[in-house]
Amino acid sequence: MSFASELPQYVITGLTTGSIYGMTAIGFTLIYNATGAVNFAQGEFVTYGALIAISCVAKGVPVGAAVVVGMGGVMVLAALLERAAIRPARRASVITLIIITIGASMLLRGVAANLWGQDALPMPSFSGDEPIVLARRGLFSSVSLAPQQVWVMGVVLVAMVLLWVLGDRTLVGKAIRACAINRRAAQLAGIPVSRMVMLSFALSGLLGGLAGGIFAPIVMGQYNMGTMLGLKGFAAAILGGMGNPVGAVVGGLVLGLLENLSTAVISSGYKDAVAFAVMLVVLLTRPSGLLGRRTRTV
Amino acid sequence: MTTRSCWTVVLLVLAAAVVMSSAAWGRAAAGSPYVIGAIFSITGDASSLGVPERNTAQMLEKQINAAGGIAGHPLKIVIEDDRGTEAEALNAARRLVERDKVLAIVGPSRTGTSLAIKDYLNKQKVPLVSCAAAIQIVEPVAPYVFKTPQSDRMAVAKIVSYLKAKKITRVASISDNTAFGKGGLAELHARLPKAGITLVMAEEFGPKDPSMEGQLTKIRGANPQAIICWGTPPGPAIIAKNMKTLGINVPLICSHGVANATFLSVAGAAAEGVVLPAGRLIVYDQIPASNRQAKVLRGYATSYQKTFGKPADTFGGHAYDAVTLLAKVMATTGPNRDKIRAAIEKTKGFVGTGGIFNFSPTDHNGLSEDAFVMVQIKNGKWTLLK
Amino acid sequence: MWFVLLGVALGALPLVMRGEYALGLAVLVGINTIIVLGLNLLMGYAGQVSLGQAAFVGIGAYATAILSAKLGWSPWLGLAAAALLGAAVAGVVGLPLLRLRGHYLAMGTLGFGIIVHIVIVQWESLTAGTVGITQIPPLAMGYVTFGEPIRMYVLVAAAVLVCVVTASNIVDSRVGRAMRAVHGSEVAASTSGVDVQRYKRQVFVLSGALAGLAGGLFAHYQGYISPESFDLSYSISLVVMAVIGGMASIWGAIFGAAAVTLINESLRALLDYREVGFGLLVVLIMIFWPEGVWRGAAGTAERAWSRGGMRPLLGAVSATLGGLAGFLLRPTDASGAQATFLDVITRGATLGELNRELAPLAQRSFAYLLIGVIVGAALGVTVGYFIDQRRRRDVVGMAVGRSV
Repeated sequence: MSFASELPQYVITGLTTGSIYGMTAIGFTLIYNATGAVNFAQGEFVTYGALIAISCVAKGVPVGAAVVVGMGGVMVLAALLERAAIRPARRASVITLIIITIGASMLLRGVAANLWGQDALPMPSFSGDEPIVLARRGLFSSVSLAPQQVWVMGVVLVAMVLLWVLGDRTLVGKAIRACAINRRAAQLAGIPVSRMVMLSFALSGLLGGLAGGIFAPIVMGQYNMGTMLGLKGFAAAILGGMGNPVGAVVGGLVLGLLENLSTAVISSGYKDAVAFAVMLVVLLTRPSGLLGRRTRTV
Repeated sequence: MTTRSCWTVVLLVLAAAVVMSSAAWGRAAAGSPYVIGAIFSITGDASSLGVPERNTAQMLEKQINAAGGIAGHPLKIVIEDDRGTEAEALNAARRLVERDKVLAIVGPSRTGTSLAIKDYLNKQKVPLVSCAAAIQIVEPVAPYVFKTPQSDRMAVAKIVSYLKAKKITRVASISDNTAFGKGGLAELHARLPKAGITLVMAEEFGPKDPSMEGQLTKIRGANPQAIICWGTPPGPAIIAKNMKTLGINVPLICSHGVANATFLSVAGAAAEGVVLPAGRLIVYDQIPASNRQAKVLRGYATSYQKTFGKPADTFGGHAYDAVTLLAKVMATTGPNRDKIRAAIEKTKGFVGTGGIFNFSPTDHNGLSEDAFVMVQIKNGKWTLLK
Repeated sequence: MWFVLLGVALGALPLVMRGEYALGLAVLVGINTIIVLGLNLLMGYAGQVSLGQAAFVGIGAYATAILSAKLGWSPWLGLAAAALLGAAVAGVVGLPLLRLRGHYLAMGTLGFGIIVHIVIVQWESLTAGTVGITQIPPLAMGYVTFGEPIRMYVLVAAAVLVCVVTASNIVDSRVGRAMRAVHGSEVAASTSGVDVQRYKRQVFVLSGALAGLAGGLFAHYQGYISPESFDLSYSISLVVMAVIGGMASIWGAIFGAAAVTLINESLRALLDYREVGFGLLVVLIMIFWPEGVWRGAAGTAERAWSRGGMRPLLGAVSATLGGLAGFLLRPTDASGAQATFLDVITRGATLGELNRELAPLAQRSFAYLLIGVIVGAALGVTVGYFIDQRRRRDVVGMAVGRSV
């Protein structure tokens, strides 16, 4: 079985893993669009979404409702974070904001470890685990994916479309983007900047919570699941273009593909290094990313 | 600037003095109790190891003291948390040796942290009974350093015996990139060829990776007869699920790293049929009463379950072995570090949860392949394979 | 002049903090200080964020470990190689990376740090991977081996002093002024003829050298290194140290490194809640005192003085003294051995079990501490009030033209 015959499976796996990264990446772009800042606690939003959903399921709540509860919980959490930690420091420097969100992520991780313990926790898949086989043996070896992965991809696509519409076609979305471009000018134009920022955090929390809920059956919920996901999500956002939800998803997919293909071709040991090396290359050659707009000089 | 710098210096010294001297006031070794130290990873990444170990140590302290202590002296275990980092472990070791003047130290939970304090404790001549797995802890042998967990070497040897019995000659491996996974992989590379088994592919994964399908697709292409996975949950659980998704039906053999309840709950139905080497503790109720370990296993498993409401696991068992070994030895040697060390080295036939220990000057682990049994997961439960 | 003071303080420290444990802690603080000095210059003066500093520390540590443990070189040469390699890698990597700014630079350095960590783990033939390198020889000079904490402390203290003096000289020099100009505004600086990129690179190289040096010291002190010590969370700790102490401040570097290391130690008492406590502390300090604890506290003190006079300051000072007094006066337990609040907690389990098991003794200790703080605060505020009244009378007297 040569590499070529396995290629379709590699591609499919790359896309499914990539949608996980893309979903996380979308959350970053929202907050970046509103504040020009990067939220290093984004990964923790995903963690909380997953863990809250898992707790609900453990109490007997049906899976769909559990995910919704998780989304709501994280939305509240994100708004709280904005009010308590970001708002008071809105005039601070980049470094200060970075440290604040890093501190917040430490805090959230610690609380999660206390509330849910440190072991991995399971969550049932939405529509079972029977693999969906796309192609049987023949020219290519069999290609299959799990139903939960289809869920992830579907949700990511829907979220991407919705956000793109929001950002590009609605007044609210444009108002949010204006806040990051020039806060003072936005205020002068009559945009309630602080409310827009709060809104962007709340939305980002909603998406993060959703991400956690749909990832949990695949990745298992654990207090520290958000760390690496957050980093890869950030790398994906940079790859695709920081301000752009479509870019975030595309970046995620490309990242997933590259990672998976490098596993196949090089070695699995260095695959994380490949992901971050790609990010570095993009940062250095085309910082606005594959699909980004040059809204600010880098 | 001068005032500020003066103040910085003064305040620093004051603060340091307060914190440190408060730590320096400690228990004066009040003649009677036998004090041993314990360093576990109670918080941090390895807490799923450290917490059962800490629980076991505390439970044993109470039990031993309730039964009259060690030759009439109460046992006191001073527990430190190394948070899974080496610098912390070294700090903790220094604290225990200096401030608490312990007679011996149990733990740490992990390989890295154990190696970090190995030289220090050996130099200080304080016996260390580690609860970590890697063989490097006792090879090369340091006079004061011992360990209770079974080594990767034995786990691999057991797996090799199983493979030979099933007449399997082509296997692939997928191991995590932590010290545990790398250690297992190294042993596989060393032992499999000697047994005439070909390792057709060796892949790696990160402990927090969301999917191992890429590696498994590559493995699938190489057509192994079995896949050996070396890691701790959730990694192997994700691998088990990925294998079902990809339609890979060959047997999955895991390491003893999954011999815990977390793996069962997280892997769910995908764990069905997985085979692994494990200490007898997880199948204690299937061990015949005639087995020499039966009594110790049952005793520990039932009292842990009763005290903490959770099933006992292998890691707690390592701490159990370490503490009971020390207690047994101290009953005859008294509070003397060198005597304790010498006595451990001479101990033979010590029945623990991990196996039956036979220490010697060249073997500071004291276990062999028999410490493991092959276990299979059937209907979501551990089943002893005969 | 203050360096003499620092030297004296460093020399006096071992007299106060005795024992291997305390000195070992001091050694770690010293090593962290050296790294944070470089980071402080980079972040404070040149305004560049580096979330990958642990990579340079690791490069330095592994360089000297491989050279001295595997190849048998003299540890001193290994140390020099560590610093040089740290500088060299920083120079090479800085060329492309320093063109980035803000979050992008942060992410770039973060990515670099992660890649270095992965390479260390995977390149087993060179670094022994996750198993780590053991038996690293300690530094030695003639008959003196810098193995024990007290000896290592002397060495590290000397190194810290040298680095502090060097850093201070750089800051006060032309290079330092150029750096501050760059921090203020890169555009303005470049129009004034400052070669922005060059200065940024120079600072980056310096920070790499310092980090490499510190890594080498760490390797020879601990005798064993593994990739775990040089991961992302260490990079983040270092940045937190730099920022908490206050950037663009050499004293800030010392304070930050000491504060974070000591806080980490003190928070051991919280066990499971340690990370929560630390994260909370970081967030709060960044919100209220973003310029660092030192300047921030001084600023708050000034504002309190101008608004409330002696009362708040005196109140705070005497509250602290009162708390200390209460703590020191707490009772011993029945068997005559002293037990501190910290002791009992670290021997206990989680905070929950603590409440159940907590000896009445420790509760009493805490009560004494609290009483001391309250009494001290009350005393201080009252005395401050009277002093203020006295001052007001004098001022009024002067204004009225004071005919006694």
